[in-house]
Parts: sequence; C-alpha cells; structure tokens
Amino acid sequence: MKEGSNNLIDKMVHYKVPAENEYWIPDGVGGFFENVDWLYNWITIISVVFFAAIIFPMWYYTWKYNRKSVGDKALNQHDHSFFLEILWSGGPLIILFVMFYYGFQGYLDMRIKPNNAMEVGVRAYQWGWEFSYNEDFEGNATKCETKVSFNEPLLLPTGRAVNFLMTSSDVLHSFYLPNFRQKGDVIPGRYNTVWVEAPEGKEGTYPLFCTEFCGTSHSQMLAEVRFVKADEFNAWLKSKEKVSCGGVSLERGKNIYSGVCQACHSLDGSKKVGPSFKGLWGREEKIEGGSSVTVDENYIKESILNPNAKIVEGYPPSMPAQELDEDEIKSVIKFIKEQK
Amino acid sequence: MGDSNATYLNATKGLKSWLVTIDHKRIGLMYLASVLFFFLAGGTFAILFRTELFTAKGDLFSADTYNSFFTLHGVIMVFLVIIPSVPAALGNFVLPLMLGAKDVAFPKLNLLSLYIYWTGSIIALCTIIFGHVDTGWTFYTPYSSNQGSSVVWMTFAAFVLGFSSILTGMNFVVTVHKLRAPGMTWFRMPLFVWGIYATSIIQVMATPVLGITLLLLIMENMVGIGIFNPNLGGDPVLFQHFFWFYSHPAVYIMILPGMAVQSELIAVFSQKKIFGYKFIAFSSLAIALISFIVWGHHMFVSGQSELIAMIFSFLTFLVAIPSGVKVFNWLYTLRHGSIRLNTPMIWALNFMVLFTIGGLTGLHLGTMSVDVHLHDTYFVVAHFHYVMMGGTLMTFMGGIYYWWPKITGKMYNEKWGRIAAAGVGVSFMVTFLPQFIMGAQGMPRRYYQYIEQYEKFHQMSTIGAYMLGAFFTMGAVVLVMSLRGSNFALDNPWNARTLEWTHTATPPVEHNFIGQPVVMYGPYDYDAPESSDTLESLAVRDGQTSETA
Repeated sequence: MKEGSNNLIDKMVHYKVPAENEYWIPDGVGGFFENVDWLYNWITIISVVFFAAIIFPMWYYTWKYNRKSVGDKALNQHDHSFFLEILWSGGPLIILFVMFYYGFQGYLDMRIKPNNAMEVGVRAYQWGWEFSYNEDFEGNATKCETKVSFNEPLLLPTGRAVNFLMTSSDVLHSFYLPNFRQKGDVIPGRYNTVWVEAPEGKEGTYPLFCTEFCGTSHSQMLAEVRFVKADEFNAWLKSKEKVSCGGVSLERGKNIYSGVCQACHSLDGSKKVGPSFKGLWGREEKIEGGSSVTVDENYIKESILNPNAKIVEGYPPSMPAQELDEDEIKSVIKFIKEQK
Repeated sequence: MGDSNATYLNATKGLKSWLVTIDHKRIGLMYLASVLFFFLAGGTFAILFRTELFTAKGDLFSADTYNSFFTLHGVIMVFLVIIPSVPAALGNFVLPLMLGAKDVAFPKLNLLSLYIYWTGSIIALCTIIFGHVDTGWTFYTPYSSNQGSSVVWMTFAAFVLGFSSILTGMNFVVTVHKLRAPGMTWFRMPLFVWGIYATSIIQVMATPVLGITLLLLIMENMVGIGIFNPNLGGDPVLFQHFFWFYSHPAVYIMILPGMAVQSELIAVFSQKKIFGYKFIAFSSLAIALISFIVWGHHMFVSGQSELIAMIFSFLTFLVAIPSGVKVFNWLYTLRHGSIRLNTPMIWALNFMVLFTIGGLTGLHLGTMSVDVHLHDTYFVVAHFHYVMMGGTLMTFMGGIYYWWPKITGKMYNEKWGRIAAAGVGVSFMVTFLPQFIMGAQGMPRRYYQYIEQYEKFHQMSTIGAYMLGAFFTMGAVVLVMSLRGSNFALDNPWNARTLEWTHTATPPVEHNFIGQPVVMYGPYDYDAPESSDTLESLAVRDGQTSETA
C-alpha cells in the first residue's frame, strides 16, 4: 500500500497524547484546561446524577408495577401535576445556566489573546502543516520569515503566550492541540487565531491534529509540537533561520521538498498523487491535451505557481498552487536537478 | 365494502395496484420497505469501516475507500433512513387512522412524494455505484466545491429528497388541521400526532433552505459562481451557516418523531394516561421553534464572533429543557402503571436509557469552552449516535413492533423479539460508550488511521458494531418469520385507546373505518368505559352494524 511505505506515516501511529488517565481526559497544559476539565468533570457528575435519577426509578417502576396477570389495571390514572412540571423544567434550567456561564467565561479566555503574545504563522494545506516564525523568544525579528514543516517536531518556547495566526492554502482544516484544550478552524482566504501558553516546567511533546475533514490524507495531518526552554528554542530558530533565509541552496530545496512536496511526489520513482522527482529533470513529459513539455526551470516554476496549466498525462489536476518566493523556487529546482 | 375479508392489503391485487395506489397505508408500507432496505445498506457500510478501524494503521482498504464509506453511511442514514423513517413510513400508515380520517388530505400528493423519494434514492444509489463521494454528509465547502460530478449528483439527490420531505410535511399539517374526526379536539389527539405535526412544520419551513443551499453548491461546482469558494471571492463559512440553518432543525426532524412514538409506547404499555399531556405536546412545538435559532453551536471554533457564539450557546441550553420535560413525564407515567415488557416496550426502555445519555452529553457540547475541546472528536460522534440511533431508531423499531400486528395482521414471536431488542440495547452501549472516552482523549472524527493510544477503544467499538449487526438481523428475522407463521393478531392486542386500534379491523380495511368514528374520550383514557362499547353504541347510532368488534 502506498501510504504504508511512507516513513512519516509509520511514525505518526506512535505519537502520544500525554495522558495520566487514559480513560478520562488527557493531561492539561496551559491555562484553559482548568476551566475545561473542571466543567467537564462537573457536567459529567451532574449527568450521572440525572441519569441515575431517571434510570433507577425507571427500573424500579417496571419491576414494581409489572403487570402480574392479564387485565390488571394501573393503580391510578393520576396524569398531571403542575408543581412537578415546574420543578423539572425550572430546576434544571438553573443548573444549565451555571454551565452556560462558566463555559462562556472559559471560552472568552480561549479567544482573547494577551497583548504580548508571540505570533506564529500556521499554514495548513492538503496534507500538512507549516509554521512560520518572525521573532525569537525575546522578540528580536528573524532575518526573514522562517518556515518549518510538520515532518519534524515544531518547536515553541515555554513561558510565553503563543498566538497562532492561521490560514489554509486550499480547503478547511482545523488546528487541535488536545492537551491545551484549544482548537480553531483553519480557513482559506481569511485568518483565524487561537492562542496557548505552556508555563515553564511544562516542556514536552504534544500532538497536533487536524479535526476538519480535508480529503484523502486527513488522518495524516498529524504533527508533533515540542515545547522547550527559551534558550533551546532560540538556538533551534537560529538553525532554521539559516536554512530558511539562506538564499538559494540545496539544503533549502530539500527542506521545502520534505515539507510541501513529499506528500505527493516521491524520490524513488514510485507513483504517488503526482509524478516522482526521480529522473524528472530534463525529461520530455506528455501532457494532457496531447502536446509535450521538457522539464526545465520554466516548467517547474509554472507548475509550482500555476499547477493546473500543464498536467502530466495520467495524473489528476489536484495540486494546489504553492506560495513560494523566487529563492525558494530556485532552491526547489536545484533539489530536483539532484534527483537523478 | 361488503366483503368482510377485504383488507387494504388484498382489496386490489397486482403490482400495478400498489404502484398507483393512493391509500396512505400502502404508501406507508412502501416507504417502510424502502427505508429498511437503505437501513441495511447504511449499516453495511458502517460494519465495513468499523472493521477498517479495528487496527490503528489503515490496512484493509485505501483511505479514499474509507472516506467514501463513512460519507455513504452518513448520507444514507440521515437522508434516506432517519428523516423518512418515522414520519413517512409509520406516520403515513398511522396518522390518518389515529385522527379517524379516511386518508391524508392530499392522497395523490402523498403518492407523488413517495415517487420523489424513490427518484432521489435512485440518484443516490447510482452515485454510490458509479461515483466517488467523500465529503462527509455535511458537504462542507470549499472541499466539496471542487470534488467533481459525484458530489453534484449526491447533493442533487439530497435536493430531490427534500421535496419529498416538504410535500409529506405539508400533507400532514393539512390533514391534522382539516381531517380530524368529530370529537377529535386538539387535546384528544394522540401525542404521536402532536410530534409528527411539530416535525411537519419544521420540514415545511427548513427544508427549502437546504434546497437553496444545495442548489448554490451545485452551481458553484458546475459554473463556479463563487458563493463559497474563497478563490472566487466566496466565503466557505457561509455554507456552514446555510447548511446548519437547515440541518440543526433537521436533527429535530429526526428526533421529534422518535419522541412521538415513545409517548404512545410508554402510555400503552403502562396502561395509564400519559403524564403531563399538554406539557409533552407543547414541548414538541417549543423544540420546533427553538431549533431554528441554535444552528451556530456547530461553529464555536470556526471564528464566529464571541457574542454570536454566546447567544447560540444560551439558546442551545434552552432547547434542552423541553426534551428533559418529556423524559420526566414519560418516567412519571410508568409510576403506578400496569407495565408489560412486550417487545415494543423493550425498545422504548432502550430509548429512555440511550436518549437520556445522548441528551445529557449534549450539555458538554453546549458548554462553549468544553465544546472547543470536544468539537469534531469522537465525543460528538458518540453523542449524535446516542440521540439519532439511540433515540429515533430505537423508537422506529419500537413503532414497527408496536404497529406490526395492525399493519400485517400477524403476531411475532415475543421471546425472540425481546431478546433482539435487549441485545441491540446492550450492543449499542458496547459500540458507542468507548467513543465518548476516546473523544475526550482527543481522537478526531473521520480518521482513516489513528494513533495507537486509541486502539483498544476502537476495537471494543468494532466488536459492538458486529453485535449490533447480529441483533438487528435477529430482529428482522423475527418479523419475517411472523409473516410466514399463522399467529394471527387480535384487533387490539395491546389494549390501546387510540382509534387505529379501537375502531379498525386488523389489518384495516381499504378506507380505514366502517362508518365515521366519533371520538368521546382522550387517547389514553384508561379510566373511560371500554372503547369497544363506545364503538358499538356509535355504530348503532349511525345506523350501521360493526363488523370489526
């Protein structure tokens, strides 16, 4: 099976949502989990009480008032009580209002970000995540927008609020960090934001799920988000900055490939959603409509920016346009040239 | 009419007599057969993808196949099974009988809506066989707006099915208003009628919005008008507003009829007046009204404003009250009753347990901050299966078993019927209880493969699904065997007080009643004189002799 051959997919199955109690709610990190977990527990207890208050009498009545012989009549035909109706509609209403109130409080905390939050760009696409950084822990600007793809752990610092500015390149996705109890839809054509903060001491690896159905590989939009100490984060960002802002380089091309192209283009000649990059450079490709094209700089650039212009025969026109700048495109070209 | 052996089943013969019939009972029966066929299809898809989910890695079939299977399961179960189940199948058969009417108000329109349902079903079936649809039953844009012709055909099928829904709903509303028998005041109507009436109002008012939305989606796909596609300046979230503006009321189109059946079952098998009749009746209308203004609770994480989200959350909690009122009233009806655990009552008790869980877990989801965590996880999957399947489908089965003697004239084997019903209840818990746990643990919906941490829950769920398949099959066999057997049913085997049992033959004659029934008592008046006496006296008064007594 083609999915099975991918190392990344094999790795994903072993991701873990840290959970001390695997039968309840996973470990909470950050600030929101206190409200959510408290409400979750409290509502569950209320639910169990109500459930018992309905189901035990139900069993009791069906046992106690079981018809012993044909023709037995009901003990009475008592059929209304205004007092009871008010009791069981008004009583729960008060409890529901409490749930509503605290749920709203918690929701506001989740949605209103602190002013000093560090902004991290999130781009979702079919099928992966890309984080982009513009500042380090102290708020110093990076040399350029530093992009990191989801096939390696995405690092974030503890001890600082992080605001995710999210958008999608194609269809709806949803950004979900179970341990942080935080979720937000990622929508094409607009920005949506969610924020989290892992306090110092809560360093660790937490999974990121896509929770809005987005097509074939929806279940493979899993990433590992690793919260580390400020120093480690800054050092990591520096190393990423080198790759990301390094002009045109093979390393950068490789980095972009493994982040963006890998899902659909193999390096070993095997056919995935799109043609393999192996031996692609300089090849004469038949394209839909009967003509043919040589794979050169122009064709690759066109295929990145306007993928449906020339579709290689036998492949679906399903590649989304990629937002890469000139240096990035050149780096990708350099990388493809190497795939002999 | 002179032949006392002529029932609606054999009044006229031949395939043609069924295809052009305008008898609401035959139309209801044809709906029933179609719905059960699609229930089998939808269930089969569920068994298949549950098998895939037995292991964490995707290994049985490809991701695309899995995605299309869960989509087909959803589309079939929602649009072809649950929505028409109680109203179109049972409602068609029972509603005119309960009101003391000869037929629905517009019998030919009724037949037309059956044909529209069949047309929609055939389009859906062809799409399933020849196409590939993997959008989920919600058809969210922009994913659905560039998935090609299969999606267009599937949405077209749902569009067509909507008309069937609207016409049936309108027919019922007019029937309830205009065709009640003499003496059948509004508060002497069985609660089944009230429930179907409330459902019909939602169907007539909400379904056109779905029609418009699906039409826009089709136009988006075919000519790229750019309503929903951001590349063309559209707004993908707008689709969600449109879709849920219909589909949230539609959730109540699905559950209200279940509640309607439940009221009948609880009263009859307790041999007691239903407790709080007016509260149950008006809570149906309250649900119908509030259901129109809660749709935004499906979008707490889609970036709508906090204020709007707050209002929707508040209204969502309000809609919980009328549902709770019903459950408490049913519970209190059991008290001091004379309870018989016949097969339909077992289904009704299943409903009490499962629907209560479904309703209570709705509180977790209505609470905004908790919903952010649970949204689009298996918790939601479990919640709506408890409500839709644990609610509506349990009472649909209960209703089939309850009216089976009236519909077919045959009695089934009670022992095996009870085992099947109880078995379904237990298997249901095995299937869906683990889904709450893995949902709270973060397991997202619609995943073809998942992290190993969730494997044990999925395995339990899959085993439960196999059990469900087995017990539903047993339930079907019980009914089919009864048709072959010769255990003929009595006219009123459950000692019910509603007209379809007291005033008609089993099975009923073509025009339902011999003479015009006159209603002297309420639908659950177990303290009133025996209804058959009433029937005699009325028949004498009307100068007729009863052939049914």
